[in-house]
Amino acid sequence: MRVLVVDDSSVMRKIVIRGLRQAGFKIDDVLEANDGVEALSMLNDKGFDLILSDWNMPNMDGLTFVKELRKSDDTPVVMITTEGGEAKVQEAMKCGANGHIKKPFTPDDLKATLGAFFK
Amino acid sequence: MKALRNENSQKLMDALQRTVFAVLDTMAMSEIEFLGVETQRDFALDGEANGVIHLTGGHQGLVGVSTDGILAQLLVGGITGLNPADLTREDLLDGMGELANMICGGMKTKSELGQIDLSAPLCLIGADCYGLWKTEHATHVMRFKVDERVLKVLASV
Repeated sequence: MRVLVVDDSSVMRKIVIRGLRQAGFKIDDVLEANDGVEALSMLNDKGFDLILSDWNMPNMDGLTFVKELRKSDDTPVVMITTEGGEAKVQEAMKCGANGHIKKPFTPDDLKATLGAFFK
Repeated sequence: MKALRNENSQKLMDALQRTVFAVLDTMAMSEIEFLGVETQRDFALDGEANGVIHLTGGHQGLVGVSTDGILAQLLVGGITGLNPADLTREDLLDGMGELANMICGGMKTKSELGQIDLSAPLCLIGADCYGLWKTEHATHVMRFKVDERVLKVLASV
């Protein structure tokens, strides 16, 4: 499995990657992007099995990223949001996101939400 | 109108206190104890590591976290799984912002007040850091004991 973590916070990217490993997922490669623009550029030459994306990011936010991605790519995307962002989550799902995780989360939360995406 | 604001402020304060416990327990696995709350005129940040979120929309206000450098390292190390001694300044800035972000998100949900928007976090670190925001409403400062040190959670709501 190749996973792309999109978040402008380096700490949040570390938290997500640590959580994935603690959840016991078999991951071959994890790459990181600072925002939607960087993530889209990485998709051009690298294939991913799953994308985890923050919502609020500079340059290109998570919602715009999902909309742009879905013009040419069907890689599963799971949004990572703070609590209280339910309306935004619904908007993202309508635009093609495949799920969402609320911060703070535990490895068990990740396992429950992301298990279906790991073969 | 004032009575409604006071009622909503109390809901936010109650939700904030519960959320601090939930976030630290989930992300940082820290022992935490509520020490009390005091009120001050302005929103003053005097810790070595601070994160602030601006509330807009249906309820205006400021919420922040403030602590000393050692506890900031322990908390950010706890939520990232990194050795606290290896954290960079960027890690501490990011980490305090994420902590404020998660606490405000939980407060928003638990308060059930509907439309409140959260800004991106403002983060400040430094040995002699002191920040002051002149606010319309008084600031409530909740103090929590975390790993024998003090985390302050400020709310002008």
